[in-house]
Amino acid sequence: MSDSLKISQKLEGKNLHIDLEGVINEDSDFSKISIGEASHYFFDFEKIDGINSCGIRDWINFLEKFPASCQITYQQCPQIIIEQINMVEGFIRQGVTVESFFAPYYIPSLDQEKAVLLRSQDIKNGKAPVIIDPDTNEELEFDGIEEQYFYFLKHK
Amino acid sequence: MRKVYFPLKYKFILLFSVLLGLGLTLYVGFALQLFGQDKSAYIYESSLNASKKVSQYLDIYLAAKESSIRSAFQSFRQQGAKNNLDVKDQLQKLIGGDTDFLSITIQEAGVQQFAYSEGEQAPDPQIFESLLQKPFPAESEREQTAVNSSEIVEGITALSLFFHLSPKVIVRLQLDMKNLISYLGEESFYQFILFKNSGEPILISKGNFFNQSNLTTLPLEKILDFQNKAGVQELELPFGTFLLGHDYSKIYPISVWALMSKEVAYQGQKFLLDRSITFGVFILALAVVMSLLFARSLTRPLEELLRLALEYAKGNFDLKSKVQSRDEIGALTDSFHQMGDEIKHYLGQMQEKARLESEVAIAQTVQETFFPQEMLTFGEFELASRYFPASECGGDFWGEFKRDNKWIFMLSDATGHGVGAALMTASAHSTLMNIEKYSLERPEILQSPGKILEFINHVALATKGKMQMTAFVGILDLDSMELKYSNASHNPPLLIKTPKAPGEFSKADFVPLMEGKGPRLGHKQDAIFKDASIKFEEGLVLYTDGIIEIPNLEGKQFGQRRFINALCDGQNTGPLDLVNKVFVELDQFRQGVAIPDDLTLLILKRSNKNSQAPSLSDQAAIGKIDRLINVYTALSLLDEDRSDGISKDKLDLLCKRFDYKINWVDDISQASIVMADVQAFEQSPDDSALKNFKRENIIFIGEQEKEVLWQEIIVKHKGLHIVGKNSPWVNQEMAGIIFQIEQNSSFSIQQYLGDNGYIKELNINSTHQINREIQTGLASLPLENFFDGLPDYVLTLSNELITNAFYYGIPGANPQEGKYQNNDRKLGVVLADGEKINVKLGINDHFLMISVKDFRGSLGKELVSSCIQRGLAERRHQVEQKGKGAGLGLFMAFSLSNGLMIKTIPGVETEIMAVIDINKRFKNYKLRNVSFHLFESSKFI
Repeated sequence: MSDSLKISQKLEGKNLHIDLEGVINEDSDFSKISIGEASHYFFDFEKIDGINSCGIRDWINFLEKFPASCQITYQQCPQIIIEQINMVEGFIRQGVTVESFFAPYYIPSLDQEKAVLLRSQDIKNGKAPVIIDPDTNEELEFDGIEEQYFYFLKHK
Repeated sequence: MRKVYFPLKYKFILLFSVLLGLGLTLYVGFALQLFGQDKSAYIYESSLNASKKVSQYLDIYLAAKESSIRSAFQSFRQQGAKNNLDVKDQLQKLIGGDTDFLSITIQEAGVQQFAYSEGEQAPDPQIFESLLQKPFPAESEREQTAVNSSEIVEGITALSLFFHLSPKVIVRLQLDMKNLISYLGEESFYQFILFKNSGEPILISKGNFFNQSNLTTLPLEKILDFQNKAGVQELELPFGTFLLGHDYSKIYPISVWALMSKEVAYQGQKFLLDRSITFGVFILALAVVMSLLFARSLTRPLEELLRLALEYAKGNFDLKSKVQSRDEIGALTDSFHQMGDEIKHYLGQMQEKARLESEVAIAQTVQETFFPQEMLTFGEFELASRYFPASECGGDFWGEFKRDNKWIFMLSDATGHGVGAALMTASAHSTLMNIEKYSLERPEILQSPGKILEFINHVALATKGKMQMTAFVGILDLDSMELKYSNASHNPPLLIKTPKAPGEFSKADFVPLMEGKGPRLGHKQDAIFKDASIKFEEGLVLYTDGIIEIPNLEGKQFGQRRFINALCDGQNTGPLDLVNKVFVELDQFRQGVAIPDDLTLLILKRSNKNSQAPSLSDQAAIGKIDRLINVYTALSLLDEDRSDGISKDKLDLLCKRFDYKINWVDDISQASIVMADVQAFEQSPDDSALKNFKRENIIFIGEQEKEVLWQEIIVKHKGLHIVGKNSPWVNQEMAGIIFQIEQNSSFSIQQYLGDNGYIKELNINSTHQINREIQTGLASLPLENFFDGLPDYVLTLSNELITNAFYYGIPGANPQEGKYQNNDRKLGVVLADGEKINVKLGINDHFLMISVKDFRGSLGKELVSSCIQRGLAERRHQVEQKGKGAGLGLFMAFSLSNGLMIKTIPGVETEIMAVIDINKRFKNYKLRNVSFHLFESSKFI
């Protein structure tokens, strides 16, 4: 787990795709992300290992710099990020959507957990979608508290 | 690495070029200068010689002409002319025979008397004779001979020579100068000019520079100046610089100039210079090429070596260079290869060393699990211990077990210390455990400590004598107070006898147990270990020789005397305090000298009614409070029907572990502790006894969402204790909390985890190390029974707790603030010498714990409450964050853990312990009602 946050960006037309890798903390430098160049910002959190309280704070402050007209999309949010999204207001604000995120599922026959990538649009009525494990062909059990885990989808 | 701005090969090229260029230039310059000088001298001499040659030729030529005329006339006079025909004939012979003669003219007293040219009529003989009668002039009169020239008569350049036949008779001899001119023209480099003494040019040879029309450019003053002088000059004329060699006729009044263009004169030198320059440039170019080639032969291997060095810097030590030269560079290449091999070998050794160190660290960790807790009780007996290894792994071991009314204990000391000795301790530990199990089937073994030693000896012999151990085994019968023992060459323990005067111990009261001796374990196969027995009195002190032999700066050993004195002085305290005291004295004695051998000290005592009351620390440590605790329950519902819920029966059972009994009271005024849920609490009136009960003594049952818990119980109701209702160990937790509250004590991480707990202490001295150390620590723990994402959660909450400890937990100059509280978070914190925080990871069969302790002790009730409020506000993004603040961090730690315990001694230390239950299901982890406990006291018992 790297202690520093690596940011890589790619502008495609008016869409700016930003890949984040490492830890979001007090050392993270968001100034590398230029605000204003694009109208839609895609943040991919898949390679984020963690976030601390200072990182949450700095992230929220960073978000506030975006004009209200900007669209912001979070992609492939790991569990720990979903925790923060649900815990701290401001992580999702007006104009921010969570497109996809990892959710914990449980494989009963193997007594193992599995992180499954879900799309927000797959969550209907706050219920976790049915997932069939391709290896065991069994239905996986959502291993979280739906109301708690999908809280961010209700309260945007 | 610095950038190469001026490569070596260019330096070589420059050096060679400059050297060669300079050398060539200097040499050529010098050579040309010499050549020039020599050439100049030659040219100058040539010019002079040319002029001299001409002047000499003139003299000879003109004198010959004059002489031939004079001779002719002499002959005429002597023979006399008979008639014109004779004269004519004579003259014709004379003139006709010499093509140079053009005419002869004779003047007497300024009047032409005679003139004859070829073909003309001969002069009147009489006149001719009369003229001839006159005497010829003497030699001296020839000085008056004059010349004239530049008459072009019918295309002929003529020279008139005047000489005296007599003082009044002048002969004018007109000569054709063609031969002279032709002669002059033979010297192609020179152009000759003949001057009269008046400076008037009389003849000019053919040349490229001078002709009749530009002769006037010649400086007259120079012409006159050089008359009758021989020499060489440089003449600056409008159309160039000329070298002038000048001479004069010794007979006739003629000056001869030999002129040559300086440019022409030095043409050779210029040619040489041009050729030298061309040659020099060629040589220089050749030198550049050669130096380039030479430089390449030098710099290419160096570049190759540079590339090799860069690859070595990246760790590619297997690479070899292709440099084959047999010079110093080749030798250097070989050195590089050797260096790479050595570094690779050294890295391999370092890796191996690191691996060994890691394994030793693991061994140390494993070994630490062999030892019982520092304080044990059995009945009225207390056994306090302390083990301190001399290195990562030690050779001392002690263990115990209880069976019925017997307490069996063993202390051993393997030869040496380090990994080998540690392996022996592992062997001793497992053997003792086996004996414990074996004794269930064969209880008779516990009748004889000698038999136990025999058993262990058998195991020790497996090392074939390479490792041996001393050991002491004691079996204390708690009923009969008989201590049976056997000693395998170990330091004889000290029996503490009852002093004559109560509480007044002396050296005589410490009696070494000298019986029951046998050889070292592992020494011989057929060793016999005798049993001995003695009546136990006040206590027993077991120790390893490291304690006695510890040296100080002067080389003296602590010794038996000091040891016994320390024991004497502390006899009126509990065994743990006494152990602490001895170790403090040891520390003071050794004055920082490294400990050469492992230290182990065991003190077994029984509580004596006649002695002073046991210390509170002893009581708290062993839970030896034989008391009743009145507990009032203010619960909406006590889950009697839940097998896993809070149950009075289960609590009653569990309290016995802590040696107290719960007295369930109905009247809160009689209670010392209250169990309440939020609903019941809130429903009670503000002036009720419940609402006004001391918050430190209320244990809330928490079943709400975490945020609600914090808001309701901690912030609103100032609660300090929350037990999560659905905690898998809710009753154990409740029993333990009741004990701690009642005793004003607070468990350590060791006490929470119990005997089966494994604790790893992390060495974290800066915020930059946090993530790495936690990850490494987690990697050493068995986490297979936890949900997959556990490491991320532990890392996050650990990060928050440890970061807070760094920023808020280090004492600074201002007691109101942590030393690094106002630091820029981006800079992080690196602890200075003497500053520390304590971080431990622990695990047992039920949960994982992280403990973070600081030594400032600032996190008390008020601060926790304000942090929580700040955290709640921050999480709602209701306050502006400026990179500081502990609120959200504490809230995150609370939210991500299943239990959070805070223990604060204000101004001294704060320890925060976070608990995560073992759970393979993330869901269960999230469903768990969180527990929270805050203990604050100036002194914990």
